Amino acid sequence: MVLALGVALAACGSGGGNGPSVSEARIGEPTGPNAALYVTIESDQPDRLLAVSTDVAGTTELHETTTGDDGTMSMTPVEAFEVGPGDALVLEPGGKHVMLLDVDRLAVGDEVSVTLEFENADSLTVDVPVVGVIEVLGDDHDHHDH
Amino acid sequence: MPRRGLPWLLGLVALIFAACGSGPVSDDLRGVALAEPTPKPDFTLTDTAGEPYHFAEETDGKLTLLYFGYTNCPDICPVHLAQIAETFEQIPQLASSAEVVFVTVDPERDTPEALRAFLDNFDRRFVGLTGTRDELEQAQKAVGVPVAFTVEEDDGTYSVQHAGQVFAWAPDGLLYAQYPFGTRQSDWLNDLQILAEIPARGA
Repeated sequence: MVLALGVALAACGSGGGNGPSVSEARIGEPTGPNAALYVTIESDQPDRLLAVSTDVAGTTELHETTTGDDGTMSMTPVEAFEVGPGDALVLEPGGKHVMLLDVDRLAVGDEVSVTLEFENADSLTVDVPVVGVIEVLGDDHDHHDH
Repeated sequence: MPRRGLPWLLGLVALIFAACGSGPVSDDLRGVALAEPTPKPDFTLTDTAGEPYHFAEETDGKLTLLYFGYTNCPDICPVHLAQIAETFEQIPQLASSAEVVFVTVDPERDTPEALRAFLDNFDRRFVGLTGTRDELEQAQKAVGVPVAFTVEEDDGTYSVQHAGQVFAWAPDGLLYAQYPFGTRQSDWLNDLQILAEIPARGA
């Protein structure tokens, strides 16, 4: 289902043909003050995702979660994510993500309008579904590997 | 013997072999198994009802899962807890003999109320613990994880760097494995059933 929506979104977003296109966009159902948005972005041109805006969050930040050798996990704010030819930008749990701070109450099944801003390409506005916490791992979350 | 009896017989033989168990439990676990299972640490913190919670005593004889995290963490903390809750939903009898303990590493923001509301998203039985900075540091040292620390950001917000794995003690009080982020749902299902079957000492 998420994949189908993602494909539909990708079809909407790719208007120019070589600009960024998005797929597998999803927001995990909030369990606290913050939530995370995940998405895959492809672009034929080198570009950078600079910011993400949505009415449902107080602010948003680009973050990357990293795991140290000792199993310690940390979340670091990042200024921009690179995206370019042959190098899809994959935001996924336990890695790069968009953090939605002070997020509204959202329920599974809600659709959230989100605008992605790029350095070069025009900004893209997409409707992103809210999915269950486990479902953020993706369609085949049972085969999720790092 | 009728032919259709054969699969049944094979099944029985397989079951007997499984029951005999040729290797240590860790061979069947899919988490990050410890070479030598280690005993459960002891520490005392405060639960979301404001009552003291003696970890070793409260979890004695139970399958015990422990995780350090914080409720503002949107990325990995909820996934771990949701996976455990999902496993309990699939095998309800696991939940009745297990204790899931979430210890905050962000006591300033994670009030008992915030902790309770966060955990109730997953399972109302999950235990939330907090304490003073000092008490929480002692608990992390007792478990043997690097002590979490706060990372300030330019805009005044902060995140907390903390141990990312879940620890699992069997009812016998021994830690057999750890579960880093990225553990599959099927691995949780496999391992929690194996660990729950290890009898408590003296039982």
